Amino acid sequence: MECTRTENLLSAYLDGDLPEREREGFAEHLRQCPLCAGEEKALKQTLSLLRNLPAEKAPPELLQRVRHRIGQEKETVPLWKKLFLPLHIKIPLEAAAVALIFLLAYGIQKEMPATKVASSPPAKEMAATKPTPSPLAAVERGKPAPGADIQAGRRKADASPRLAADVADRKVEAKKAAAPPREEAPFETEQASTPAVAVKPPLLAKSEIPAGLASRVSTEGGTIEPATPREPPAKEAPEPRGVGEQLARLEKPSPYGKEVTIEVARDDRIGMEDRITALALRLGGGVRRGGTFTAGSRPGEMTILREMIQVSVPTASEDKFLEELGKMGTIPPEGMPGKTDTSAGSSSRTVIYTVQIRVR
Amino acid sequence: MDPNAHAVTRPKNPLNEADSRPADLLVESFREGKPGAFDAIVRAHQDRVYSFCVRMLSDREDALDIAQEVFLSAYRNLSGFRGEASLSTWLLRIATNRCLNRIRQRAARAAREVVQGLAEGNDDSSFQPPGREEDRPDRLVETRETGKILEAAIARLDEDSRMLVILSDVEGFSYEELAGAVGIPLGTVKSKLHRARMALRKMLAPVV
Repeated sequence: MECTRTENLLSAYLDGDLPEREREGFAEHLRQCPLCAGEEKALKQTLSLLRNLPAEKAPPELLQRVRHRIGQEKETVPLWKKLFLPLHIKIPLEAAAVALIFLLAYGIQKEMPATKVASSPPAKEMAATKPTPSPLAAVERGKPAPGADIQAGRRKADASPRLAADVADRKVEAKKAAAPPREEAPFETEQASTPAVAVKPPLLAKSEIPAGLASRVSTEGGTIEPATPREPPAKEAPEPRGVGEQLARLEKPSPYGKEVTIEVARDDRIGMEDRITALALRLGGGVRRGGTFTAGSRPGEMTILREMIQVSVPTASEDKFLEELGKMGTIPPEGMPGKTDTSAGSSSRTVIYTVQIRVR
Repeated sequence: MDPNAHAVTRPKNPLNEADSRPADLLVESFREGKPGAFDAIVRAHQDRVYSFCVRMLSDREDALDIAQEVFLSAYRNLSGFRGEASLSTWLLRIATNRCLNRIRQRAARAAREVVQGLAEGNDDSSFQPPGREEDRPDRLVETRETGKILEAAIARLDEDSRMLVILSDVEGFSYEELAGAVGIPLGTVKSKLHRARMALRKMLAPVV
């Protein structure tokens, strides 16, 4: 082994970091070379001095200064950091938060489908459900329960699928009558191509119809229910014009789409809805039956029964609709759509009519 | 016969063994928020940290400053200390970085002063290496105070060599710990350490 190589390996030799064969060669060289042996001895002594170098004693002010600075830091540490910095608080707290978020997310996800079903029951389910009488029906005056007529209709429905669907519709309507009408509900488009079979509702004798505004008449169950205060009396006077007209329009109970009123004779009243439905379908439109039933009277005039039916017709067939509607009865001048009425259709190609049927 | 009988006992970080259990307990106590736990940590390690800083910086006031910063840094970060190394190794790593930063700041300041002196036409202000001129090892030989001679010789090494020699041969870091602390490969650590030792030996030739 050469002296230069020996010098390079001196540190490794003294640290015991040389492989065995190399170490033996190194030791052999040291025995033969006094110069390298002297180097080894000197380095060994240097390392020994270093390892025995005593530690300097830290001045006492070091601990005091550290304490002082920590005290200053504690004063400036924000509250949230004081709460969350120690790991033994931080880790369980974070784990609990994650678990809570997970549970909440899971719970919400689990609840969502149930809510959907509850808000929109299928028509079949609705048809199968026995209608529950409205709380308002408690004040019926010896008349059959609202569901009674529907049950009768249901028996008839066995003979005709169309009739069954109609009855189902009426049951839904009967339920809706108990709650405020939802104008934003989408139209149901009737698919039947055959003329509708009219379900004859029981007629009310004039004496049974209460005078004044405190009544709410349903032709479905032949019941008279107390009027809800939010339904103001129908305005029969010609609609005002301009700003006043718009304001008056907003006050109407069903200011949805264009409004048209048709007056029919008592004998012609039955089946009007079906005839209007058939007309709308023929013109390529749709219909939403029922909704708000109102009754009212004006002093000195006969009581007028009204039923609202909402019809959706293509804009192109609007004139045809009004013309055909006029043939079914009489559209008084004040019953024509107001100039400020909006089309309210789902597109510019559709217009919605709220048709009110009056019995003369 | 022991094949390594020739070897100087390989440096063993005394704190790695002797203080590992108490240090772990102290760290746990600190994490649990026990009062006085951090004081105990400072007391257990202050001499070693301060000594290291004095040897690295050759200035007691600077060493006190840096030692204080080391313990403050430990206080802020001890909750994240994972115990992969011993607490003493961890503290000395912090001290190493802080000392090197201080040395660089000093060098930058000295360089600015030299440039400023040259601009002012005063060429007397030459750059002074670490350690005082009167502490040069060859002058201290006469005093025969080996400890002082050794300290002075260490102070005259460049900062990387000084750091390696102190950490390895004074503090007892293993090669692997050195590589981790300094952030250089193991082979480079070995070769640099050897060069540093040889430089020191040459400086100490008059007394060794």
